[in-house]
Amino acid sequence: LIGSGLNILREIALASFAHHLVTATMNLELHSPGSPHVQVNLEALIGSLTDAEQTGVPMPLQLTFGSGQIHHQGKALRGPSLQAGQLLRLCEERSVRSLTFHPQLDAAEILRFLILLKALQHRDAFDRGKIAAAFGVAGIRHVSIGTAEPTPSAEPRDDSHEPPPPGLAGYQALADCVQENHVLALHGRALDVQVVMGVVEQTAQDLMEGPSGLLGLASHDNVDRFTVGHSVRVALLALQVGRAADVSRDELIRVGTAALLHDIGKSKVPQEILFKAGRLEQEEWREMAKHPRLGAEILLEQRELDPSAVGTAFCHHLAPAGLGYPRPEFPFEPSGVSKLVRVCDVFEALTSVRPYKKALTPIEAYTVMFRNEPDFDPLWLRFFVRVLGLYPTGLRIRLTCGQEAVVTGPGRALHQPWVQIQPPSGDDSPPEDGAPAKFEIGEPVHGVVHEIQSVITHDRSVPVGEGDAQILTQHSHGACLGRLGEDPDPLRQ
Amino acid sequence: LIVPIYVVMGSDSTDGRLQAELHETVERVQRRIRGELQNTSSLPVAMFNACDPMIEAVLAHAASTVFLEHMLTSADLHVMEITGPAVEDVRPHEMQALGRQLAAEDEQGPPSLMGGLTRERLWVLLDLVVKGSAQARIGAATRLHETITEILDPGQLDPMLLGQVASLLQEACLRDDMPSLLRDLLDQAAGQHLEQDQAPGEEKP
Repeated sequence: LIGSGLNILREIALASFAHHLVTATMNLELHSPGSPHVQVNLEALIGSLTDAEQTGVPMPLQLTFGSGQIHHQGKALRGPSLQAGQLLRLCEERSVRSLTFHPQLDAAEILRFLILLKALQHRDAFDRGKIAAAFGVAGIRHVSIGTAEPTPSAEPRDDSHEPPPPGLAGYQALADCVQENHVLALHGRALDVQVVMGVVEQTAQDLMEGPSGLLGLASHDNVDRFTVGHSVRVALLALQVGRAADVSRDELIRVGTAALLHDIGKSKVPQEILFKAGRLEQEEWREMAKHPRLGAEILLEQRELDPSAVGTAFCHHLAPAGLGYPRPEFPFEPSGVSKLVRVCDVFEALTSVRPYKKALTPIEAYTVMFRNEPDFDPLWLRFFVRVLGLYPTGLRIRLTCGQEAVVTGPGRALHQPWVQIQPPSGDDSPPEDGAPAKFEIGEPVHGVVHEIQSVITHDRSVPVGEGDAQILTQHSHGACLGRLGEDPDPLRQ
Repeated sequence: LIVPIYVVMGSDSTDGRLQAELHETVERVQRRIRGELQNTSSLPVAMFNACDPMIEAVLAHAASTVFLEHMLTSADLHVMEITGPAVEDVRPHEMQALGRQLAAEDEQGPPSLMGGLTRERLWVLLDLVVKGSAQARIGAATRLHETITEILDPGQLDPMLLGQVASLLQEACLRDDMPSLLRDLLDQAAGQHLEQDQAPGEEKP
């Protein structure tokens, strides 16, 4: 038990380090190097390096980059990789294939290294022969790099990278798109609307060809950085439901674009409020509640953008009967796109991890949403559930036979999806009992009817059987609904 | 772990004191379990020190959860106000009932996804004209003018929408803070709307 616990702690420390590294890259786009946000993040980065050392991760800690992912000892760090597009691109452009961090590293030195890595004028510094001189000038002694070009000092090539999971490139493109446009919005520059629409169009195509890969990745993205993960997942949900709503391809792209940019106004909310861990004070709440109107203002400036995105940014916290925020100057009924995005927004918030709450399972989230049904358009709420089912595509489950599976698509009934058996980590052997890899729940397979025993979230395994009367969750979710008097948004951490 | 919590629960503490005692109890439990783990494990003590924040967090959560569950069922303690986020329970029977309810409902076609977009655009633009930043007001007023001009296009006239727009603009123009642009738009929209409703030969109001 202790051994397993230590392995988990090592994995947590490693993932935390990689997450902080990705965040640090992003932070330097948003803030000056002396900003408190940068400093806090870098100190956390160094803290997680110390944690990694103390939990037994071999030092110096080496991360390698390949197949679109961050790896440690050949194993992909999937969660951190999902939003690491920018870091991976930076490294690829400079032919950096590994970074090695020594435990003596401190926040000031890692900052100097990241500035060197990011600054365009220093691209030459990463050429062979110039690295040592550049690092010497910058005072970088506890970070070393491995380049694609073999050098006498470079470590031997390691080509044992895990192959990228299906949908990874698409997910990273969406995340990159949100990140870059939030930075542009923060600096008051024009958004890259054509790129956004291109990425959304590709995503719609990917969802049509094989939704489970892309949607399955969402369950690995458990850190919400600058609301990027949230925006990506809301867009994926909106595209998934929009596809089922008999709309044209162009209309679907408009819906996906509106969903992806719905929270762009948060780029203008002070980060100390957006990422505050505790409850918001009244004044902070007022600042936070401005983000829908700020988002509409930002999007209004983008002449190429479809106006539905402006309306969605404004309306995604508006509920029927005048509930929600902002209070419009003249009351009106939001459009179908805004009603759908509102449902997606709350569902995503409920089913994702936040520092102050655990992730609900989809059925738990539906229960909370139906309990607060007046907060939603009832037709869209029901249609959303019908399209996603009680076990949405990409959800991880455990079957009554004990095997783990992932939902690959809706079945004939809400509670009987198609599933695919997942081999245990590192085990490539075929499923037991000769069962096919894919089948529909409730249908006999070689005389055995497989049922769902539990739903697996980031941190829980929640049984779905009858008769269990224990309290399953005790976490605040009122905030996710944007009620007055409660934190207006669950995503500001 | 449970015993000290019951000790706290059994006391007739006031609100503040009870909370202080809870924290103290949690800390005591944390220290004790940590000590026992260290004593019974063959792992170096440094390992526990390294993991300390996580162990503490987990124990604090576990102890608080147990305490809250018992506290909520204890009539003696209902006077204590629970500060912090609201507690929301999701119970299996409620989820199962919802599952059955949804499965039993008739399948309906999709609601209109693209419905109401023009109306939403107008109302949002009008809101931004009034409440937006200085720059947004100018942009919104320009877009509003463009949108209403489109609506007034005789080839695409939607009488119901036009009526709504006329009412909206009329309401907006009654306010003192409306830009003059909106008054012009009201003239256009309301005039056109009235023409739609007016019988031939009838005198214009």
